[in-house]
Amino acid sequence: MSARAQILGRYELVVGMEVHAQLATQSKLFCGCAVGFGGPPNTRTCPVCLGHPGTLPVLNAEAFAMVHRIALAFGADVRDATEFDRKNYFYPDLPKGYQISQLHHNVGGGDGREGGRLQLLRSGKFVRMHNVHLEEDAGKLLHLGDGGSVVDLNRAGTPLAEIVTYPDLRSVEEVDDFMDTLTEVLLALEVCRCRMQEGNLRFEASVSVRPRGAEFLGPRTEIKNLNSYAAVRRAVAYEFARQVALLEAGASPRQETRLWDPEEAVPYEQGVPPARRADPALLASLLPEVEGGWRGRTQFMRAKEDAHDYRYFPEPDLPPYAVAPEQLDAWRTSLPELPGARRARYAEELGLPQKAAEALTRERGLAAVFEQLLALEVPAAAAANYVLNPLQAALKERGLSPAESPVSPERLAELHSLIEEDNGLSRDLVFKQVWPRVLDEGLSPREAVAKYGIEGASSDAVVAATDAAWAENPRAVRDLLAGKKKAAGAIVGAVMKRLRGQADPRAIHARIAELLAQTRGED
Amino acid sequence: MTELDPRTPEGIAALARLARLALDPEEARAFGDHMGRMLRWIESLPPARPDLGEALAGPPRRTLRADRVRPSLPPEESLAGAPERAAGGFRVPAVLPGE
Ligand SMILES: [Zn+2]
Repeated sequence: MSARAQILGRYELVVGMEVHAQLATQSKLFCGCAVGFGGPPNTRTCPVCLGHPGTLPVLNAEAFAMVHRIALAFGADVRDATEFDRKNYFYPDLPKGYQISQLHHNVGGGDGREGGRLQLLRSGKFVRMHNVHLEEDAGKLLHLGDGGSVVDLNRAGTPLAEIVTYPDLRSVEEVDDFMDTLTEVLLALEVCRCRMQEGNLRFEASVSVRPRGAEFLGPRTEIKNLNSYAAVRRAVAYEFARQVALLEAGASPRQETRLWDPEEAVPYEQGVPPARRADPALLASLLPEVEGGWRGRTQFMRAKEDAHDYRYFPEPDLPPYAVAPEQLDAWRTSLPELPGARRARYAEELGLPQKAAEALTRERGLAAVFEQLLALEVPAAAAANYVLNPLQAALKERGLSPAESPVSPERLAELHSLIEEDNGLSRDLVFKQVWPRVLDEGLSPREAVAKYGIEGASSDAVVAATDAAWAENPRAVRDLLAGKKKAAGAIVGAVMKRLRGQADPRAIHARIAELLAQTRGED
Repeated sequence: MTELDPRTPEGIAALARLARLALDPEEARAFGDHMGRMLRWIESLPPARPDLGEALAGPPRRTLRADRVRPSLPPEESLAGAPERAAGGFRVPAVLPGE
């Protein structure tokens, strides 16, 4: 065991996540301005989201429904009435001087209520959810580099669901599993576009470390500025190493907020006294080995004692919103099938092997293609095969997501018909000669067959080759006559070899059956 | 939140810091006195916020808005009150992380 593994093995990583998901509504949370990404600054603003005096917020019904659907999907205890709180702080991107949020009135969970849970797709582990609540996004600051900044309020007032977990994650792999699972769930619920590069989905990690086997939780650091899945994984790995390096040196991590800096390689902690800095050499030795050397560090931002005092109080401009039990039931019963449940259904109801069920539900969007094939009446086992073997491999090779697939489900279904029809085209032949042309030339399978004159061995050729193989394999014939059905394999193999794989195995089997009947008849 | 009680010197100092106001001792005393009186008035009022059950018991009110986009202001109007402008936005002094 390496020294690194030995040292890290003495400690346990403990991670909780805080997620901000922009809800996929048309308009903002409290006004009719459009929700969007990019565009010229300050073109999607109005007196309400600019925070002008005398304006009043009016809650967006769709955002309200979406955040409830998220909470219900986790199985959270959902309130029958929702209220809002004001979170007060000054920042140039916050025009009102406060954010409308929920502190004690979370839509789901919070205040000792059941927050529900999320089952991770890869590991099957359950992560407990602390709460889900609704709040408004702030605007954006653009730094000018001349000592000034520009405020763009297009994003101000965009509805956000804040999703907070308990610190139940124990490794970088589990953090990754969590992010993928949550993304799948939010996409399935159609409540968030989940494009991290556009800031639709933002993760913050709370990281602490404790001696392996300990029950207590160590002081946690909150890491901000994580704008890709890779950034989250790297920042958590870095923070684990940094806190272990502190503990190994007899120091202890402190509760603080840190910023992820993806570029810098050298640990550097402005504002942190030397006694509380991790030893750079030890820290470097504990980081995961990366080709080309490790890059990225978390940087001290503020200590707990400097934490903001947000002076929360009930939002006086918004009334309490009652949710009728019938409404809750309607939301609950209209929830789509979530990835975990889908996996179970594929295995149990459709009879797919566990591995196939997992593979289909693991990668984003793959299950949708599979479902479309089922709708096109391709049997489940065959559909799973097409999606997982030729399609997924081709997508991987081209670096595409299933949603970007160059081959539509309709064409995959046509490929299936081509294989199944009695046209002399074997599965092998279709995959070797038809599929590449469907994939690269944008042809439909039948177009590819017509354009390239692809044809299987003629039935005469199959009969001739089978008869020849029958004569050359007396032992297999003897076994077949004795009722050993498996012996047909030797004859089929010989025919395929002779016809260079272009024969349809069903035609060969049919000829073998005829020959068997004839031989028995002669006896 | 006793540390934010404006009737104490510490409370008024904390509130002034949160509101980004620089008060000299004279002003701090004056504001503390002022706010203390306001608080006493507020405390003497009956609770104005109806309790939840009462608020929900009344006839249903149209308090939710359908998710429909409405025209935003022309940027020229949005920026009308900006003390300074740059690059189509409100220009402000740079803010350091952690502030
Ligand atoms: Zn607006």
